[in-house]
Amino acid sequence: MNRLIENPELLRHVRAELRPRRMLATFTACAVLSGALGAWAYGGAGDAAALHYLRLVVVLQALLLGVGGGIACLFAVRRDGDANEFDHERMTMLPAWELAVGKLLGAPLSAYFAALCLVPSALVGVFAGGFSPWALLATWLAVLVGSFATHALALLIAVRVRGAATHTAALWLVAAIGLSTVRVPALRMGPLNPIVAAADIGQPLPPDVFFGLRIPHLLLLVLIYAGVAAWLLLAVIRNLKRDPQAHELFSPLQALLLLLCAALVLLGVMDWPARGALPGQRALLALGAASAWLLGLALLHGPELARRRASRLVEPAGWFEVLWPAPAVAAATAIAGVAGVVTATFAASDKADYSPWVGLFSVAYLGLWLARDLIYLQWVRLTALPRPLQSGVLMLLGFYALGSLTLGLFSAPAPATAIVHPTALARLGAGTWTWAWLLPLLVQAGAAAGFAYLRLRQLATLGAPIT
Amino acid sequence: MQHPATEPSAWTRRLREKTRSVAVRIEGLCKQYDSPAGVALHNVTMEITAGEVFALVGADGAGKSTVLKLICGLLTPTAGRVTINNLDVERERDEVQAAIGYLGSPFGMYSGALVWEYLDYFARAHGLPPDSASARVAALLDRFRLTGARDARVEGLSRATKLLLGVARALVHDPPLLLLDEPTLGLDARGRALLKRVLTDEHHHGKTIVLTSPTLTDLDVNCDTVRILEHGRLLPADRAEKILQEAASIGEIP
Repeated sequence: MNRLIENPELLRHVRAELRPRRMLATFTACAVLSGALGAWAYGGAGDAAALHYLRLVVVLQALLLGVGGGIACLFAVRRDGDANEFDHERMTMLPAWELAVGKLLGAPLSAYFAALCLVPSALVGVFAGGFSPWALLATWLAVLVGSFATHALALLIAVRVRGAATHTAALWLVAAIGLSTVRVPALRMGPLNPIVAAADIGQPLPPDVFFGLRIPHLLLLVLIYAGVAAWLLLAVIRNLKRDPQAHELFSPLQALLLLLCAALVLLGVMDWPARGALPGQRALLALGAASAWLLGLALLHGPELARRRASRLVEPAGWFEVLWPAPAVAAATAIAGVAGVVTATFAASDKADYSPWVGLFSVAYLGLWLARDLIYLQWVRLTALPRPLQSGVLMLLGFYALGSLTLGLFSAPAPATAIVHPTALARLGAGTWTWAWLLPLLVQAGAAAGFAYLRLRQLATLGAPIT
Repeated sequence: MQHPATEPSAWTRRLREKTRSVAVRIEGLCKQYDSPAGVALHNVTMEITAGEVFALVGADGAGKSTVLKLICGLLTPTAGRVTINNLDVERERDEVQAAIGYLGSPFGMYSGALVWEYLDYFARAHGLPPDSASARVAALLDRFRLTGARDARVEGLSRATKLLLGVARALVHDPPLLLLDEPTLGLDARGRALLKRVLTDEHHHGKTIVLTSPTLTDLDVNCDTVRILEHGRLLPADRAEKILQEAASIGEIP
């Protein structure tokens, strides 16, 4: 605890963010806002006024902490970077974890203080409406842990992104927070965003189901967000003191473990009884592949890291660099996919049109598809194109769009569509299986091998001495 | 007046013990940035001996800042290596960084911090206990004639005062090796005189000082060695010597 209180980075933020005049201004603004919300809530909501007021205040706290704190984190690190102070911090004897924790807790201090100023208003709402203070405490805890995760994500983005891209990153961050308010129908859990829980305070929430166990929604949110925050913080700590050009989000083993953790959570909350084996397995694969694709994108090596690795390609593990990040992502997809097939086989009661063998085929296909896309993206990332990664993603999307259009025009059968993209798997079941499905599997493998060959040549060029 | 308040850290002491012969050795150093900067350094090899004042001169974009950042371990070399008394900077970054005082360029400062808070933060971040940190901050403020600005906000300071504060910050943990990137840029005559005095003081106390400058005339400090970087390549010592002699003959350098 002493280590935390004496953390110089945290102390620096405390000094800068919590100056008396600034605190007084924040307190006054919060008091005025509370009053205005109270007048509005009590003016129009009749008997439900207290509940209405309570929800407004708690949602405001959640927004301040999540969105406000996240943006504060993002721009605080960017400001330090622009002022070159980030380099000076990296030169100090502060260990990366201490620096990261100091930034995580310190950068959004103003948001914490503003949320704290609204606590009396929330308590007024609870006691005026006769609601359980425990429900409020549980919601606050979920909001707090969710905010930690958001702040850790913002910190990670800030460490990796520089200059004007920070504004775009801020928009993505807000979009990600907004996206998490959506409830995924295939899962037996409420929306991931704690702001939704804050908006529902005062009414009993249906419990989530995790591997058959009924768990209060807020508790599951706390556990999930604590895990997410820990993984994000790990990535920040790994990279905070490194050369920005040599950043590597996770080690291969960490990436594999992260994807397996995500798959475990998805597997646990999948609504097997309601969806049946085939739709359940499809939904699991789709969610798992989407998260694996996104993580794969974040794991791509930049030119400097690739150059350094390329110069050491004589090592036996050289093939790993050639295929990066496909091995970690495809392995996680395979392990999680097989676990999904086993669970669907034994846990789902409705097994209409389901075959474990077809399920395993889908897993193999998705693994190869991910490998194809990610090896291609890693190759294009290191080409001399302007904005190579963005160009590569756009070209890939163009390929998907054109492919779908052409195949749609000719009413191509599902196996032919699967050559281009994996949405064709939605048409694959035990009844529709034919040996023709092996063709897209082979094409994915061939394309992945082709891009791996291009990578090999590229790495040979990159590894050559600078003249 | 040499900062009586602080004892050097164990790491710094260890490094100082080793800093007798060669302070910094740079071998075949290459650095390639992601576009658009491209290759910043081509096969740079040089030695900076312990206790000398070493100046690296070159136009903007010549690669001076990159060399300093590579010595600091803030950047990793694309090829080649930097050692500080046989400690590889890339492998033993933490230990090496504890012995370096670095002033980057261009140079801003934390918004919202007061002058004493700024120095106090870096003193604590370099492992000084709070009491020693306060004493060290007071000593540095006095030495750099910043005591009057102790409670001023750093963003309100003039560029010259900020630079002096930056040099004070680089000295906060009393490192044996000082790396200053264009320390005289934007300094007025008084600031230059003060900086020169401080650096001469530090030099007399055995510190190795590496500084960069875009022009020869900016080198107010008496340098033991001057090397010239041109488009990421280090000019041979004899050629640099010739340029320096020519500059001296027309009064460009003292």
